[in-house]
Amino acid sequence: MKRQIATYLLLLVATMVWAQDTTQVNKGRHITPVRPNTNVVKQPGRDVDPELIEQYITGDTLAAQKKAREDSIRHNYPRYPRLTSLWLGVNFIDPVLMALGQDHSSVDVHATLNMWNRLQPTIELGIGWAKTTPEDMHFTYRAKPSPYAKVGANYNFLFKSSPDYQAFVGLRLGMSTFKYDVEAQYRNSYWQEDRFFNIRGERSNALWGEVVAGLKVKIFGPWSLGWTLRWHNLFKCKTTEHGRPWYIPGFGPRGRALGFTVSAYYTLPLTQNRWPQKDEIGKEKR
Amino acid sequence: MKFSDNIKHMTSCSYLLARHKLSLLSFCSYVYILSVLCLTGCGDGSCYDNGSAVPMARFYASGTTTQLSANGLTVTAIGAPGDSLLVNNETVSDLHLPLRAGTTSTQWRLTFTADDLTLTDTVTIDYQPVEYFASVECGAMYYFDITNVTTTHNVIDSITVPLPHVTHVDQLNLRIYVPND
Repeated sequence: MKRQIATYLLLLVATMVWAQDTTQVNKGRHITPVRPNTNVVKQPGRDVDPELIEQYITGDTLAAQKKAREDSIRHNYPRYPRLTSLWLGVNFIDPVLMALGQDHSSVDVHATLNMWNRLQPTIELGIGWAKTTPEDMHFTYRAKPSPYAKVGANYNFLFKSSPDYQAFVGLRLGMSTFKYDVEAQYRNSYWQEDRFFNIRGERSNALWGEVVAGLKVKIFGPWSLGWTLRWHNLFKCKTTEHGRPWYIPGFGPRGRALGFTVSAYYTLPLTQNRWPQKDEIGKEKR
Repeated sequence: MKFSDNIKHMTSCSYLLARHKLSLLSFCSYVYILSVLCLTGCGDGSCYDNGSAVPMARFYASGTTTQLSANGLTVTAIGAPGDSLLVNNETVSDLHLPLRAGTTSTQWRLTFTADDLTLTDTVTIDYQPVEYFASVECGAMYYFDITNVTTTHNVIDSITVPLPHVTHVDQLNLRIYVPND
């Protein structure tokens, strides 16, 4: 009996020593188990270029990777047609601000042609007017409702995405011909003069440029809202014998470098049947 | 990364921007912030020029371009109401002479006092006032186009008009030449 127990103990110790040795040996190795059920060859996608597959098969992987990258850049966003859509918009922020106390206003309608969802030539036509009587300045300036026009183009940075959401920068060239009146009270303390005078029907015109940055987002259906921030610079403004205009329709007060618009848009899809179609989960099919 | 993983990754990136949709609330927030920036940050409402158009005169030594200061000078306007003393026995190099907008001519009496000697000249400025709107900050005023300047010659040798168009910008309009001594 004692002999059997001693034999069992000896076997147990021998087994433990062997197991420890085996563990130490395995620590120094990297063993990757091979499971046959994962070792399958994936079939290439339907739209993968056969030439690319051939390059992979023949082992020319550098050329294949280069081509694959070119193909992925080419294919990873939808292509929109040249005439993607037409937006018709109304800039309505100035009348709102005028109701809140601003002394000038303008309303314009604009049409923008969305080409390839990237380049967007646009034209803006509007009317601007102003009336201000600053405190302690003894004059009233009235700019009669006068027309203005702007032409230019946007570049949409989100051209890879849906045209419903746009972030763009652009350039505009603006021009206006307008009239204004000034009624003033002139005071000269030395001569104790107190005189009234009117400058009526002064005609002027202006030419300016704008750098535009803005966003446009879809609200519902074909309706969208958008805003633009505009830095503008006056190229030319006619000065008459009786002064320089304060307000330029479409530009705003002459000394102001920044402008701001908020517009509502209606989008007319021009070639919708050629737009990327969406699948059942909303992704655009390629 | 495998080739197929690369394709999947790039495809998913392409839809990332499309998923970025602004809510109406955030859109309105942007509008509010930008409008406040525009309305408060544009234009400082200051007038850096004069609030009225006043011709400036400067004294020069006769026959030279050397500037002088006139000692013991008293300047009064002929016909001005009340206390018309513009300069009272002072030493000045620049002189601002306000013009009347209701007439086309203004006369000034310039009295030079040196030791016990007092000499007076009368300067007449003829002009055309023009109503002018300068800016919202500086206001509306009269500009003047000087057409003629005459003077007596007790002290003053001559007066020239380098800039006949008088605006609210501080510029030299009249040069008054007097003897150096």
